[in-house]
Amino acid sequence: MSWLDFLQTKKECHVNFGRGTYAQIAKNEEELFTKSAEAFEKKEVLDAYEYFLKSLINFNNSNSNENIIITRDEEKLDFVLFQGSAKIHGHITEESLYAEATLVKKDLASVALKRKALERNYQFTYINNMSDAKYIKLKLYQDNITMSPQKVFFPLRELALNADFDKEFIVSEFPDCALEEIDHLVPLDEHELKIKYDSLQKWIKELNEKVLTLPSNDNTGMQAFLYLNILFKVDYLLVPRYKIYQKLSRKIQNYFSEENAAMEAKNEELKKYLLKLQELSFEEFSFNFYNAKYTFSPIDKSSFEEFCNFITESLIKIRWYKNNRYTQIIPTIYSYMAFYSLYNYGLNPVLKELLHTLVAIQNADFFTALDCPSFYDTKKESFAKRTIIQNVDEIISKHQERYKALVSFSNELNFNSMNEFSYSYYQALKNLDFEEI
Amino acid sequence: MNTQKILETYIENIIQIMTPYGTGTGFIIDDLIITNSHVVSGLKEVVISAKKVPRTIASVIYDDPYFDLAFIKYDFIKPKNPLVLAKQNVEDGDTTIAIGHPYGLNYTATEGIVSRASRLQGDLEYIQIDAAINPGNSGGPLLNETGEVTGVNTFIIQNANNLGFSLPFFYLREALEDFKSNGIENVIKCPSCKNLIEESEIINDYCAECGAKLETAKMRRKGYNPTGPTRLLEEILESLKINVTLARRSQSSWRVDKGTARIDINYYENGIIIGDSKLCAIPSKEIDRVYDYLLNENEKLSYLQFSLNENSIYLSYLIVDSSLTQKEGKIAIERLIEYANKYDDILINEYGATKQKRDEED
Repeated sequence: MSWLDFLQTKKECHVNFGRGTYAQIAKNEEELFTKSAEAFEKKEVLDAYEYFLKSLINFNNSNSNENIIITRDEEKLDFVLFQGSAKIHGHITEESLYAEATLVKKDLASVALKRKALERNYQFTYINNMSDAKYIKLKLYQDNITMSPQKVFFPLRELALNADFDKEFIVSEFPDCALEEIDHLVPLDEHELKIKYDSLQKWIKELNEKVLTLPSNDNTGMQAFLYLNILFKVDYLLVPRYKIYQKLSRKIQNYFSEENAAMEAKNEELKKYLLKLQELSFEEFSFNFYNAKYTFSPIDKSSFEEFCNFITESLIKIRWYKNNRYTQIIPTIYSYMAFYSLYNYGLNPVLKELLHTLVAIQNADFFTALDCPSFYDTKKESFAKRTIIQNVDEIISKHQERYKALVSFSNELNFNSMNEFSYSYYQALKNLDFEEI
Repeated sequence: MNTQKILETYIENIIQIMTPYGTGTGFIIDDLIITNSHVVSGLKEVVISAKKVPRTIASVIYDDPYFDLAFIKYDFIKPKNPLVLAKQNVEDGDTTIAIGHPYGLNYTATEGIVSRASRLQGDLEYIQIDAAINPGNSGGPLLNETGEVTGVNTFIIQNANNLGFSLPFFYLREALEDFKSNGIENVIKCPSCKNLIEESEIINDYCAECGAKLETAKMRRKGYNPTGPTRLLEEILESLKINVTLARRSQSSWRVDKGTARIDINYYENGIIIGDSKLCAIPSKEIDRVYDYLLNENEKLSYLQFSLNENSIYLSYLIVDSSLTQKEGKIAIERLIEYANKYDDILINEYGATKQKRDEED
């Protein structure tokens, strides 16, 4: 351990990473949810909704993110709920819940956009696109006859997630049609944007150099790891919106869904896309970013077992590459494993935070540039051992009240090299016990 | 006669049989509809339809699990070219034609040969054929080149290619003679003692002759009893004066026709109930105007919504099973049926939308 570790003070990071809320849920979330269910049972409808909506408010360092704003009187409850680019206005009475999100001005919508809106209706369960005198909106209507918190959750989530997704889609596909109700979006400051832009350029350049180090044949698997890793990395670390996000997620989706396409062709497709990203001017790039409040996570919960299986399979692949002396690809796979998991799995908060810590260690230069805790000195190839241990211990202890069998693994970490560290970290993650006693 | 000619000649004899558990085929011999026992699934009533018989309810008056035969009574108009039973057994290599409604594909005729004229299964002989028969063919006739009934298509070997089995006509003739000489309706053939047992004489589902437990008697006594949300949905349909037996397409789907509109209600395993009416197709001109109209109407509609899938306009009602109530469900489904017809007319007449094509017997 370096003696300098003792002098480090804990840094706060004000940059958002990844999709979803990445905030803490209310400490009394479970209690509020239960109270809501009880109030619905007693037909105290407005109380029930108030408890329920309060259970969805998220926090940062005990401060409400104000992702839901509630106003209530004797006969009704109104709320505003934020989900990225979407601002949901809700109106609740004893009889029903009505909520809507304004997308675009009706007069500006092209025939293709209107068709898309009607086609989307065929995919929705609880909500639909409609137009009033001025706007195209997504609306939700539910009567309160058999209402329960579970029955509000899914419709409201469908409205919020799809309003956000569709608004981003509109910007990407119909750039001439301006979005409505986006004054709540906060632009990123120029400094952060510049770091993100420069980092993207640097990563793509490094990727191209890395591709050249691969053996001339039998390298499609390695290329795939390189291309996919950078796409997941862009998504998690840069968190682009609008066109970049839409294209990037489509590229990833196509890569995994096109089972009949040759891997070489799929790699080529990603390569071309990365070239396009590289060619973006700073202005074009900057248009795709904003900060916003989120209420719902876009990814459905995954089981811990599913995550563990992925880690085990990935470690087997690493062993194969190691045995066959393709060691140059191993750090990429260790990086890929974290980004893939954060992109694809609805992880519990502990795993999410622990994987974020690993990402911060593996991508120290980026975190340092953003003035966020990084835990690793790339030039000296040395770990901020004490801070890492402290960080892991803190994450674990924060959640031990809920997961009684959760034990810190900081003493099992191997700080000899980045590869050894990553290996020990993933092994430790697999051994965590999330049994709720 | 070639296969197509045989189908055209005898098509009026071919019946589609529907129960909540599935669909099958039947055919007319004399004044009865012949099918398999497993097609009627132990029910006293089934829904039938044919070229000259609109979808209607008919009674199963003979159920014979031993031969896997059932007879259905319905007062139909005698076909112009009635089917008759063959006079002699088939032989290996004979050309053979199977007619039925496989997978609901109405009036499908397939040709093949007799692979083996007599294949023993248990203590019964079957005709093994290579004509393609599939689920939905059950109970349909196997015909020879002159159009005589040589057998009743009864089963296939699953996951094999073209291994079909027909119950030979002589068993059917025997069953018909026994039934007619008995002169009593609502009888069950005991699979143990082979006697025809009058249903009214069956006590606690035991055969009055040999004491064997009659599963068919039990099933007929119990009938079809939906539970949970399925039952609630059927109660809602009944409260709207819809004949549920006729509307029922399976245990979890129902269809109602009103005017030019057709409403399908499906209850999915994930708990979602979707009442859908596939209205007309979008017009070829002034399509923007139609989209505006549909989006505007969506603002006014409660319970229902317009959507677009491929080129068709849908009016739908979606609800999670646990949220379905008699009162609200009735309002929503009544509205769906009424509005589907109304909007179909508006879209066709005022917006130039194209009326959907449908199979006449669909």
